[in-house]
Amino acid sequence: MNKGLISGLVLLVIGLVCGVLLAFVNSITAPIIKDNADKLVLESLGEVYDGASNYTLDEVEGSNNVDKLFFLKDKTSGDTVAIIYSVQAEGYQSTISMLIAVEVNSSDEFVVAGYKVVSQGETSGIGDKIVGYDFNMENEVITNMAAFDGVAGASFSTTAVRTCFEAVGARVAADFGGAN
Amino acid sequence: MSISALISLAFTALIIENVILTQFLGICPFLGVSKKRSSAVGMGMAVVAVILLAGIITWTLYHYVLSPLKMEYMQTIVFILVIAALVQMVELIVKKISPALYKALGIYLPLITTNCAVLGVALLNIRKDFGFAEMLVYSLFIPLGFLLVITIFSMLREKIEMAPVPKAFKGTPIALVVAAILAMIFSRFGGLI
Amino acid sequence: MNQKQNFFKGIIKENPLFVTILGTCPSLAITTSLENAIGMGIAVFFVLVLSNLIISLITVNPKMKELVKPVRIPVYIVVIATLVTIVEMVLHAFLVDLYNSLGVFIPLIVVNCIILGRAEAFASDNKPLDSVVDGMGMAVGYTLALMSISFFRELLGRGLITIWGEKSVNPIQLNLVPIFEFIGIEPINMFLQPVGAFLTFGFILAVLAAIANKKSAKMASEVKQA
Repeated sequence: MNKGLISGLVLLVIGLVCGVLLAFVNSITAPIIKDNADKLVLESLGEVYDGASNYTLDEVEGSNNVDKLFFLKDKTSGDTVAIIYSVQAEGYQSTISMLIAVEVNSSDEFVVAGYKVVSQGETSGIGDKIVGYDFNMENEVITNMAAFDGVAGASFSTTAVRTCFEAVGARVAADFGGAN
Repeated sequence: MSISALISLAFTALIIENVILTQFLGICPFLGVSKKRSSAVGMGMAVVAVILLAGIITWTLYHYVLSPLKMEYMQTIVFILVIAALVQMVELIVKKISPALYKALGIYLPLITTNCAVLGVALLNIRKDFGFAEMLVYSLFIPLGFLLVITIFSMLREKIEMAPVPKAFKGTPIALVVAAILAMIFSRFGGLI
Repeated sequence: MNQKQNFFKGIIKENPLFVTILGTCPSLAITTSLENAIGMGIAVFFVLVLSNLIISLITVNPKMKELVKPVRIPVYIVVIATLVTIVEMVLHAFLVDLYNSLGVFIPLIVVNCIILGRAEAFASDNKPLDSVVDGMGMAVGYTLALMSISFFRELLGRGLITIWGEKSVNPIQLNLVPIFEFIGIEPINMFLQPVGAFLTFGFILAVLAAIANKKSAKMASEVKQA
């Protein structure tokens, strides 16, 4: 048989063995790598939803203003306990990113369980008051924007935060229908 | 991505994140093939051609073959084989088309397979999550930065060869000290963007 | 040559970084802390010893060696790249901090000339056991060289030496900042930047060259006297 062909075959066999080996190692390490990455995300989600790290995580890509949805699921039953939305909106001079956690209360309504402005670059002393501000949305139904209370004197930044809540409300309504 | 962002990426790749002086990729040829200006320029040109081609091919392979097949973990092995094959092919093509160019670049081409800048740029294109345009700019300006620095460095080394250097510093040690001073100069460009 | 000589030649006489000046890229890039140097050293140790073993096993049979010869470089590359990818995945899974700080230099072990160089120059012509010992010696020599560069950079640049657990709650560290304060100088941040990498490496090479020059001068004078 042709010598070059045999050499090529030897290379091919070695390549195949290596490929199988890699696939095997990958199947062992990939879940651990994902767990570690999830743990980091869950830790940061803990700031808007208490005890987030006790759940398993399911990430879904969003659309429009909502760029990601994090489903927190019970470790044993697998039921979704809460959904945390990562939302963005344009403020006065920067993009404002928020995390908004939504859960279902005892009367089957979708209510805000927590929220946080994650990043912003608004005017210091005016617009940046939105960080840590109480917008009066805690435990309110997510679509009930009447409860929303903005920062006085910072209308652009407030509107951006409002847009964030509205976007989540619209998304919840689209996914689960109606207000409840 | 806007044009201005691409221009700023090009400048960053060329000067601020210079492949040799701040990312430490391609140090072997930087020290090995910089004793004469002509060979430094030849090596630099060959590196530009190979990195640009390798960048385009590996990026395309990753996004249209490996990623859909969920075989991202094969990237290192696939990329290095692509680079090795590419270097051989470029060598053959250049030999056929332009003997003059082959004479100038030929001896540097086989060395490029183990130039870590080539595999480095291919991997960084993926790690930095670049789109096609960004990848193209990055894969062009990173090796241009290599060409720029290795050319400057070879001119300095030609002078240093004649200078009275302490015996212990002769050769590589003084070259590294010169590189350190160059790195100091380049690090100051960081404030430009 | 016995096994002991075979092992120690990689550490002193043929030290891959300080004598043959191979594998310079990571030696400049990741030597900002001792921990990184040790981590890189362990990764290289694993890859180099196993690649030497596998390649010498492939080529130990003369018939097989003849077959592999025309495609030997691709074969070496495939073997090395596989080992490197395994190391990368294991580090990513179990030592995330180290994985992040070594970054792209883990997959770049593939093109570290030391590994391909030992495969071609030693493992393909020697028995498996000899190749493994050679790989161990070379890897330990490389690790020691990396550690000596990072020792000076971290000491001068930060005033402390991290042995392990840089980002953990209780890192094992040797804090020398009080000594710096006592002398009245601050740590020189420049040594953590690229400048410091080139400078430290250059000075270590110069010191080694000075020692070698002295030795050869002494030997020459001894020869004269005799």
